[in-house]
Amino acid sequence: MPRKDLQPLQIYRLLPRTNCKLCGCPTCYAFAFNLISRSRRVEDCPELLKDEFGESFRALKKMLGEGERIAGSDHVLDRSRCTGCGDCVAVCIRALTTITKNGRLAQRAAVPPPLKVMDGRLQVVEWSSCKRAVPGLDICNLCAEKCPFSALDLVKPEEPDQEDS
Amino acid sequence: MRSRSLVCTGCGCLCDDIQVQTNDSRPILIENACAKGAAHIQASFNPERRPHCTIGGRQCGPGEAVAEARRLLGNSRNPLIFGLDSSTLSAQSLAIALARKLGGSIDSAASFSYGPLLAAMLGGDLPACSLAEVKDRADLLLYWGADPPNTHPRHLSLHSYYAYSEYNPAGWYPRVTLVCVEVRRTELSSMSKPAIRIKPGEDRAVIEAITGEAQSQVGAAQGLAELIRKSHFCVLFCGLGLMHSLGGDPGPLVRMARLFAGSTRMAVIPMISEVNMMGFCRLLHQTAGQVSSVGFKDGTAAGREHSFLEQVRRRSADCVLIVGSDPFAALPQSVMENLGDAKIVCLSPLATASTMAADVVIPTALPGVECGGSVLRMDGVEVALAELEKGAYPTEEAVLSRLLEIL
Repeated sequence: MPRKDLQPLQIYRLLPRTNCKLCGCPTCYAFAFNLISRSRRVEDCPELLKDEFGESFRALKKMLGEGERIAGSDHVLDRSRCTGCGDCVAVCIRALTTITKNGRLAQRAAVPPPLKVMDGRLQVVEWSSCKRAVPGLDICNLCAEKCPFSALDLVKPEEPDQEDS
Repeated sequence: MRSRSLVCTGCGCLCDDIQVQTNDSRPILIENACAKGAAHIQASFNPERRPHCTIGGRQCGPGEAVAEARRLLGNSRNPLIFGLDSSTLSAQSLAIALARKLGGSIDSAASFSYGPLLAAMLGGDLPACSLAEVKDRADLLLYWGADPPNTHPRHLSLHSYYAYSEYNPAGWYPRVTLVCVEVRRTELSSMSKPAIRIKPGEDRAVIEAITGEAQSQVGAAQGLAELIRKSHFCVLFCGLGLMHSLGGDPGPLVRMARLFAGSTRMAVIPMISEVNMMGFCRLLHQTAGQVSSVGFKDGTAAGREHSFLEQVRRRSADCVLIVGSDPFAALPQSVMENLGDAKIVCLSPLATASTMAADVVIPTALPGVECGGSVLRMDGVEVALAELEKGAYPTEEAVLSRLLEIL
């Protein structure tokens, strides 16, 4: 099960810290940020695949889980855990219609649901409807919170490289 | 490419919001179905999952197989029909008529699962309600010995906790309490508040402590009784864990429902995994007055001696007709080994352990994908199945009516 309170420094301590740039990131610290946002995978670091880093590799895999980021969204889905139960879809439809405005609940205009179960697995079909995609709305993570199998995780939007470096 | 609406027959939920997009009569995109349902729909289009029409392992035509099945059933002294939990209501009626004509026994998996509970419900001892009522009005959902995220993946999102309706637009958020009574940590217990953990086999003691029959108090009972008493409409979803722990005796549940009848509304829904176990039990109840294990040898009789398990143990059945079920996978091998001398005829839409063990295999159409029909959901509501694409296989109704005709 992936941990939800990951810090870049925790990840960085497990990396080779050679800044070899072979993964495509300018530094190992930048690679740690990319791992948290799931825009890079642990396997992208060639140093980590060596035997001497075997323990770090396994620890990182355990911390980050098997989830893969769904392109163009904040959602990280572990397809082997997702059963397509639709709990995330049901809570999202509810969460979509209400927003907090000046500290009070208000109705939001109807938008198409961002999530849908297709071929037995969750898909993000309308990312622009998700509250996380609209600037100014409260950060919502209900779908990941309500997943009974912890198959879904939400990460921050991808950080630009210059900030990482 | 065209889009079709479908009722999923992957489990007892019978989700009716499935959309399937097909191209050249093959599904290319299945929307809203869970992993279990999507795999079930895809299975009918996978030739490796379909059985061949065989007699003693030799491939043959359906006509020849039906004639051989007729010969085996006709020559049998004590025929037994088993299964029908996944068949449509019309196929079940034909199977009952066939058992009557043969003078044999008929039974389903209900005899070793929900049979006694369904008998109590159909007999009017236990109050029931529909899943639509659960969605609209229930404020306490009590899952006992059941783990729907694993057995019925869409049960919570479509029928109970997360489901919403016109009368219940806020849904789960402020109003509904989800409680789970389990012997172990499950996916459901992690989302329930409170999740009550009891010792294995303690279910009866907890219920008796709630009803005040027990001398000693069980820790979990008081809090649970308080929760039920405070609720306006409590629905008890009874899982197999509870049924097996009670030894198939619904008496304690009946007494508990009676106790709360004055102060709150309490209803029971069995968490049936099979598509149409409820339908078969109701049909048999109407025909023979019992929900399972009925024999038609000398008039109509019901009892343990007519149950599938008992007949297999005693090796009394000499020819078994299995319809849409897989007892060889569901029951222990030590039990099924007793069927060694009996002739087995298997009507099945998918290749299973039972089709591998059978002497005669007749492949049939998959209800809900290749043929329509009607089934009863776990709450007793009749659901009409749609047909996605007519397959090359005959329906169970067609094979059973042919057998009925020629016997």
